Amino acid sequence: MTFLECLNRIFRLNGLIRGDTDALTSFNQTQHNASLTVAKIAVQDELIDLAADRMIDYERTTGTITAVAGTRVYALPTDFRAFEFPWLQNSSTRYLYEYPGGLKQLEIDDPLYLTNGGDPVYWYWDSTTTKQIGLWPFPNGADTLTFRYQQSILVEDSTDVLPFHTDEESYAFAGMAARRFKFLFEDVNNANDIQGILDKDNSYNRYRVTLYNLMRGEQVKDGYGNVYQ
Amino acid sequence: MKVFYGAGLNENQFPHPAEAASGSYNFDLQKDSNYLTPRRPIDLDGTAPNAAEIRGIMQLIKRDDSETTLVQAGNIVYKWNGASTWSAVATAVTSSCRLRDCYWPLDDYMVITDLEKKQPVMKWDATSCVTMTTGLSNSLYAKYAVVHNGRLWLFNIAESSTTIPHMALASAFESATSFDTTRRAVAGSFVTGSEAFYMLTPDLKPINGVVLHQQELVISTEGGRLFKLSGDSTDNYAWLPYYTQSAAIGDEAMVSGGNDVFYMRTGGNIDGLASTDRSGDVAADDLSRWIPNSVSGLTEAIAVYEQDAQRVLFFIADRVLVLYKDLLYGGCLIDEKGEKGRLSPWSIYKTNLDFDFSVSAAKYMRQPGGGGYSVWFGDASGKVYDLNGSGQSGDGGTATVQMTRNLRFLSASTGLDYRKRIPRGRVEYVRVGECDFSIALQFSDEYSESTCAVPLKGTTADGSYFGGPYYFAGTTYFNMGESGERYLSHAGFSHVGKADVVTASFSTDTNIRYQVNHVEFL
Repeated sequence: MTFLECLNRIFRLNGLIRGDTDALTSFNQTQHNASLTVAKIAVQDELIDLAADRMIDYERTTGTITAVAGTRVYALPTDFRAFEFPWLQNSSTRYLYEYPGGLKQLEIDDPLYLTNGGDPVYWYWDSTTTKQIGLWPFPNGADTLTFRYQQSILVEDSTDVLPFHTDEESYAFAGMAARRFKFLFEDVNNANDIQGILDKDNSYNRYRVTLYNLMRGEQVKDGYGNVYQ
Repeated sequence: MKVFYGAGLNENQFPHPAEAASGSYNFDLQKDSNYLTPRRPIDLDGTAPNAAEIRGIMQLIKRDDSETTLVQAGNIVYKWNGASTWSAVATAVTSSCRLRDCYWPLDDYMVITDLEKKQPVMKWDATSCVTMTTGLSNSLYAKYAVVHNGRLWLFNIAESSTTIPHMALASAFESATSFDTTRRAVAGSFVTGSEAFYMLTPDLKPINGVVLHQQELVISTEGGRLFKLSGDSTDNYAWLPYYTQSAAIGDEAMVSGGNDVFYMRTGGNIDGLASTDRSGDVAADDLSRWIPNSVSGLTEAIAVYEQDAQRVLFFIADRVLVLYKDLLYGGCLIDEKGEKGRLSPWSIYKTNLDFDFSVSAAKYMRQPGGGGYSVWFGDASGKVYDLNGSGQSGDGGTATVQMTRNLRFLSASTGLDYRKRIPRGRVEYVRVGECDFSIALQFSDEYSESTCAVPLKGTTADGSYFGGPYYFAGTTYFNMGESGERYLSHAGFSHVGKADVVTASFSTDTNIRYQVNHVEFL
């Protein structure tokens, strides 16, 4: 399901598209100026909430860092959001773990970390305006480091695909987003806490549970303990 | 809140929601209706061969119902068939004259006068266009002519080079070719009472308008007064004061609208004689009180009464002021319950064509070569247009008709508080043709504007019955009821913005004649 299709489903669930009012075919259409803007926000908020809550399959991807002799700090991919596993793997299939205690501890443990080269053993966060990591000791030879990370699943353009495998998952997600949209868009007596409303909203919670169940990839157990036959 | 469109333009501070606020133009109004529809396109019906300025449009309809239409383009007068056939009938008229017509029924010909008094009085009998015999030894020029009490009356005349703008000449009784500039009505020496005579305006000011109104001949003097003719013979004809403070301006800014006389007076305001006659010079008689900005400072207009549409048109530079009589007298429908209000009966027409409604001649007449009536006018390059066109390609076949209708402010006092809720609404329309209907909201304080282009649907495809448009070999089998023609439809919209007060603007730029019944703001 594309972002645009998701918004049309949200509009249908909220009665904005019905009868003579046609589905949107482009984000450039101005007919539903406000509802389009608010619905985009609702979808993006739900996706962010979902991504922050747990790893979903669409986020999974692999990245590489090409280590160069004498270079200590390396940028992560632009769509990098988080490591799936907190280690890198070098070309010798050896794992590089995060330095215990991070950069702050490293500076205590090895005041010469900026000048000590060698075969990297650890990585540590050394972010500035972008996410980047440092290697300790910094490499004195070329190598390729691979890692698994969670990529961004945020949707922006109308043709962007929602990060779900099946229509059922996409529809359940659209249902969640539709409830958020409803309370963002409609008059809620000037209530400020939309999330508070959503937390008490049975429909929203039902959609959310449905989505999680669908994303499990296996049948939900319907009982506890062993079953004796 | 539902917005209806039953009333016209009101440029004052607080127009009614059913009225169009300042800056609105190119919408039509209808008696007992409150939907929004754009004005008809202007059709280009023909272009004079010499491509000179159209300065006169005249029409003769004879007793046998045969019709000929003359068009003065520069120094040539053409006979025009309403399309592309033009034949010159007078080739050496003064190019700066402005010829006007008057039908003389007794001899079945048309008398032609000149508002500029540069062309002697002529006549057209459907065959030849010649200088008319007047019985005077010198050339006779006149601005206006009417037939009244069995005589041809000429007003604001010149004999040879002597200009006498305050003089009216009456022909001999039932003889349009006999005039006399030496015998004055009543004072002159008359034998039979059928002789020709002259009269002077009592205030001695130039005559700048003549109308026949409810069996009375009314004249206006320039910046002066209105007089009506009394009497029925050379012994007792006299001008009686009708209204002493009319101060009418222009050469063609006074017109009889059937039940009233409308005229433009000093300053540009447009008055109606009936209310003036009844109430005197009060604000209520100022018919243009709803459009003070549009009429301010006007000095000239060509006023045309469009009888079948019951409206009065004032062609001024760059626009046409349109007064809907039905709404002026009957009130405007302002809601869906049938409630009416005494609201503005005005619209304004503009065009994107180069001539911009700057015209030297406009006339309500029978369609040349046809049967219907409409208003024709011409531009400076010989083009003759029909105001009530039916073309599918906009004005002159080239320019879309841009319509704008502004709405007064919306706020909590009108039931809409856009600080708390997101502006949204619904358009109810009738399916006529596909076009975008733009609804713009201007948010106060934020100085921002949000526009929604709401697509209006046209008719759907031809009927499909039992799975196909040609079931049983034809689209008309079991009728074609699915075309959707004039189906009532709805479309939603929403705006981005937040403010205490917003103003709305509805606009289109299309060749389609759509119909929006109302817009509901939620």
